Amino acid sequence: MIEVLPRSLAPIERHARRLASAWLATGADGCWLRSPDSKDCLLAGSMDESGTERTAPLTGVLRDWALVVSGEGVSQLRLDADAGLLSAIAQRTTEVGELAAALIEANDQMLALYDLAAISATSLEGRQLIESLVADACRLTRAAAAVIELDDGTTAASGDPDIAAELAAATDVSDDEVVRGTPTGQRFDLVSRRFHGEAAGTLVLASPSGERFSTPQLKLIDAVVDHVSGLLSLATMYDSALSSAVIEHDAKTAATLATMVLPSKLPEVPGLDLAARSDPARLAAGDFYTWSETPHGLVFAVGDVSGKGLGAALVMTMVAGACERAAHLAGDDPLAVLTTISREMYDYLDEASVFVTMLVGLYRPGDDHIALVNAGHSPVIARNGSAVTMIEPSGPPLGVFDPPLASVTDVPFRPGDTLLIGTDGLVEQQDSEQRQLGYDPLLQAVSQADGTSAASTLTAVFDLVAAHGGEATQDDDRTALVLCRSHDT
Amino acid sequence: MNIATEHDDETTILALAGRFDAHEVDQFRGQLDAIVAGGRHHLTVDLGNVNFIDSSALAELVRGMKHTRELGGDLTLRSPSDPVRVIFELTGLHRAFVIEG
Repeated sequence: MIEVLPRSLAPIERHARRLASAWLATGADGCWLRSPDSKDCLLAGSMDESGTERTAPLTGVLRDWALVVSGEGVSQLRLDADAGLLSAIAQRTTEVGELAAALIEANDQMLALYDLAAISATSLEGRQLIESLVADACRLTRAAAAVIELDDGTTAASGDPDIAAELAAATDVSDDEVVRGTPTGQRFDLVSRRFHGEAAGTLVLASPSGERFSTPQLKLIDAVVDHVSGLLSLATMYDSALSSAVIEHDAKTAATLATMVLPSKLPEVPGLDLAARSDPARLAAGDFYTWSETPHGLVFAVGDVSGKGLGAALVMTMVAGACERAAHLAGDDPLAVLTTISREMYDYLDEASVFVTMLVGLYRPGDDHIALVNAGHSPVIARNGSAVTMIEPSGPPLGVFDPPLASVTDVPFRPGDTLLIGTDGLVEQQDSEQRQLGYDPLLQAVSQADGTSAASTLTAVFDLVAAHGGEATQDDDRTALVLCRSHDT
Repeated sequence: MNIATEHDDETTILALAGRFDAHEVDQFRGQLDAIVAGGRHHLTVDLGNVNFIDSSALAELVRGMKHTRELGGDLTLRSPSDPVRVIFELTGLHRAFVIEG
């Protein structure tokens, strides 16, 4: 016989002793509880071997226990009622305890969810973010261990290191599959979930030893995976936006530097008015214009490197530099200038598989004609008096053959005459219905030029192209150099 | 752009159709280089069904022409459509290529 009640009876002990006192007060000799292994725990009175014993089994959480009363005239009905009462009290007490525990757990999970939601994808570096996410996923799902493995090879683990090591080897477990596995020899549930998007990978979780993931836990795991995937995608997009911003900044700097090779100071040549402009379609252009004042006169050039963007702009800066050097070496003959540029640049252009359409001209102050060499360049439009003509190329672009196959054309250039050297971006500009501007409107614009102001002709041409393009995007770099032979010399 | 390849006794004909611009250059270069690497150095590029050609594509044709000539072959052009023929004339490149038809 034991008098100290086991802990499992604590919730009902007080009630059981009061009921036992009542039995004694109504003539019973003793009252006790009989344990599953038939040990008796005395509640009140004595356990007289000779007395009549009546027994009523308890139910619910205390099933296998029994309430026993000895003495004369013990009512079985009353005993059964008391046993029922004690069983019910024990059952309710247990349920309240479980509810309280569940409530606390739910509260913990809510706090963990809150933590997870509070992680800002941009506040952590990639490595820290994934470590923080795997730790939260592990805590939130009450997993023994968790591993995230991204497709780029990045991994992070949390929880029991031994189990995590086993999980890392199991990231190829297929989606929506729960493996009742036994890593490290113990019983686990293994759940693996693929996630996609900007940062694709796998999250693998192991349940605590001997436990299984419940259905609500599996649902929670899915929610956690969605959230983790979303945050990782956000972080990846943020990183790529950041690196594009760096690249864009570099590109802008390069574009600014490339544009700086274009001359900014207008030449002072008696009898000549000059204006030039270049509008890149993207950041940087493969178009260029340049001029050099040499003892022989003004050497000028307009060119267009095949291709677009920074690559073309890089080649452009080299060719523009070569132009300037060639003008000073061979400034008395535009064909010699072109040949000199070709000699310097051909191997490079050949290697890079690009070519440069180019017009080189020489104007000697006071002359009534101008010497031009056209290597595959258009449009080149000359207005002499009332006649407007296109100057056709006499050879292919620079970079196709060395020495270049081209010849000099002498074009009349008297007071009032105008020469426009554009690039194909002017004539090929499309309108919203994809019709190109073409050559005719440009020829007309040059024929209507006042012949005194190169700047006003240049503006008229660019306005014409812009008006044709309307809302359509600028297809190509637009560049033009305009020369006017002034009257007042 | 579509590229159809056909082998004659000595010549390989690449018939192009569509827009030949910077976006198509890699595809064209890949096919051309594979043919040349296979020992066929006489190429004909049919431009009859090309409706647009830009400077990157012209540069690529020039590259192919130079490359095959270095190997003792050539890259000739066949029956360019009107808009393409105009571009070859405006760039003086009609003087650099052998153009049939």
